[in-house]
Amino acid sequence: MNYSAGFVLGLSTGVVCLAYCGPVIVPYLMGEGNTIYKNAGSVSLFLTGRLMAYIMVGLLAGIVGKTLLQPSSLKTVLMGILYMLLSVLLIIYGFHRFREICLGRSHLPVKKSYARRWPFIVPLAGGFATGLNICPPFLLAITGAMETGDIARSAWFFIMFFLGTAIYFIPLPFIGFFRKQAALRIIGKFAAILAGIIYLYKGIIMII
Amino acid sequence: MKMAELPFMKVHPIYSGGELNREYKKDSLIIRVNNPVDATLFGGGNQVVQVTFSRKGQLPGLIDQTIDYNFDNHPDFKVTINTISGETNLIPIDKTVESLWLSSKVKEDWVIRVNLER
Amino acid sequence: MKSKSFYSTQGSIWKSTLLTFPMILLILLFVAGGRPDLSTPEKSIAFLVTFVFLTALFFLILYTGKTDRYRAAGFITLALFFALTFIVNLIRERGAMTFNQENMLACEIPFCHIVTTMIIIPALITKSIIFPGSIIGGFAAIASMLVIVIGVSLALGRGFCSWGCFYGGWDDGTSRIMRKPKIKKINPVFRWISFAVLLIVALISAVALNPVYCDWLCPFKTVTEFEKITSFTVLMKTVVFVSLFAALVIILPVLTGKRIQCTTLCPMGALMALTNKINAFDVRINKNVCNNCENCVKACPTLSLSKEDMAAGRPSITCMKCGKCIDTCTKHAILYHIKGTPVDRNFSLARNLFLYPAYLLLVIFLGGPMQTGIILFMNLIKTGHLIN
Repeated sequence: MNYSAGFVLGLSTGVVCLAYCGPVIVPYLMGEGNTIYKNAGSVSLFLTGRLMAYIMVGLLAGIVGKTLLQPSSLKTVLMGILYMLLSVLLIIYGFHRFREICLGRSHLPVKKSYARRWPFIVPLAGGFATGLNICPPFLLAITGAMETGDIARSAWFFIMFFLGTAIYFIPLPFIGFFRKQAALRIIGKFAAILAGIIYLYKGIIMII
Repeated sequence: MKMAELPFMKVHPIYSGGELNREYKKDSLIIRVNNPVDATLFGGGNQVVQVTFSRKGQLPGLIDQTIDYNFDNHPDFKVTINTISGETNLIPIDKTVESLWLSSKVKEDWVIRVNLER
Repeated sequence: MKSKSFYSTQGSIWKSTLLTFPMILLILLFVAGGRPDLSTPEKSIAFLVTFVFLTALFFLILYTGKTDRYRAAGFITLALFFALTFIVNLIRERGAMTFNQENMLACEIPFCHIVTTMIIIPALITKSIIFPGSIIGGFAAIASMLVIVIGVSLALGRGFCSWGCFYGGWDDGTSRIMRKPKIKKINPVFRWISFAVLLIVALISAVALNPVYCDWLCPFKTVTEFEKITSFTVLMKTVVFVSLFAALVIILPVLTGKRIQCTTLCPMGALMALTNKINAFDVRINKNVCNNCENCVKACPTLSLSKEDMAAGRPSITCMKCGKCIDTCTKHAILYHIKGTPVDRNFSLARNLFLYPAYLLLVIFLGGPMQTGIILFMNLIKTGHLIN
């Protein structure tokens, strides 16, 4: 896998990320009632938290890939099986309904006293927590990162995956965009199913 | 047509074959080796190289050539083409050479495209 | 109740004739280049039949006030004649419907409008077109097809899918076979699948530098051209597109009465839907007149109308401007509309202004193939052979 694949994986499943992670940050933005610039700052902090989580997972995936997968003579077959399993998960994910989590005042990811003292910590921690959300696109990214067999490349793969997903968060400071949330979520789910079918084919080819 | 003059209005080299690198004569054939072209969106990944075999008059029934596509004086692959049946055999010599992508007669020439690994 | 506006042509022979006259001139211009070729009896008959057919359809659209049934007659005819003439041309030039590696290496593959969806991202990054076709010259050259796509998007938005697309007539036709569909309730959410297809094919094509929708999915390869089966992978691709044609173009449209392929698969349709936002024409619901009977929701062949859309006073962006909901509405509450103008005024003028570019598109695409097709049929009757 090359880095453009990580970016494209992020782009192709990023709509899912926006549809499910977006509602985490939007109530916070709406609740704060800030200007577009301050909203942009909050979204940036949220994305920074996600990026930190992604880099951490990327490094871990690289370590696993390098120590466990690379030396194995069955690397291609193992990766193929992983792709097949995760693509089936992605397809199921596309059909499943998920409950939203909310970053409003009643569900803060940090202690209220910390939030009062350092308000920036709320979107940052929220981003980190959602960044660790183990959803199938994320698992596919882990698989792709492990395939690189190198710790640094794995981290880069995740950074590219993050950039692909982050593009969809750019309009967030303009809250009105979220009126189209329902259609966006449906498109994201269908895209997840299609992406799952493609990765399933990839996994089968790797095994054959 | 103005549309055809826009900067992006050219076929990607992976389909047009890329630019000519070198042309030489060998065993009554004229062999044209193009520059390798990127087969990935951002470059830095796999590549494809096109080689064209032509001859004044008809092509021989069998083309059996060893090609050095990057002209570093080390052979990279050997190709055997039955120009009557179209059967083509590619034997990679250098580790960058992966597989054969396309092989066909085009007008009076024979064109092959070979997948390269970086 | 629909008011008898000055611009309304319904029921008025002289108004309908008057407004048909400019279209007659346009038909002569685009079908015959201003000078019809009457050099042989076959060509004369072909031209006359085509001319009368196109003129009559437009007159009837104006005179009856009904858009969809006459539009569909022309649209389905386009699909059939286009496929016929395309296949015959291929067999004459190549001896088969298949293309092979030589055609790909020589960049001789005709550029179809659907490829537009897959070339945009690579064109921005690599400044080139990822398609083995010719930029200019030859049949369906890249430059000329892109000019058509851009022009039509600006003029009609997704109206292209009902007035110009030479594939859409297939499932438009099959969706009308059963008077009462067997499957009646379909969740309108399925109209968004084509957007997911657009997203995925655009991205995967960019990474692979290969138009994957054309390579793997396009069901209309069944009635145009396809890759010669020389390997297991190509065999799989053939099974996929033939299955999609059978399922989405024939079986499901017959059972549901909806244009399933256009609604759920076509990425070009999704891209054209986005251009509906910049197009001057749209379809609106006059909420003062609408009685919420939901006949339009049942009639819409592309799932573009739902209760929410009715409440909003307009179909979703997936609307193809076919006119079926307009014709179905007994209260005349649904209308063609020009953006920026009041919904309840000058709707007849808006309809007439929309009909000209829309019908002209149909004329441009249908004129040539219909004449060629009629000549082929006359050959068949005379000689017993479709192809000499």
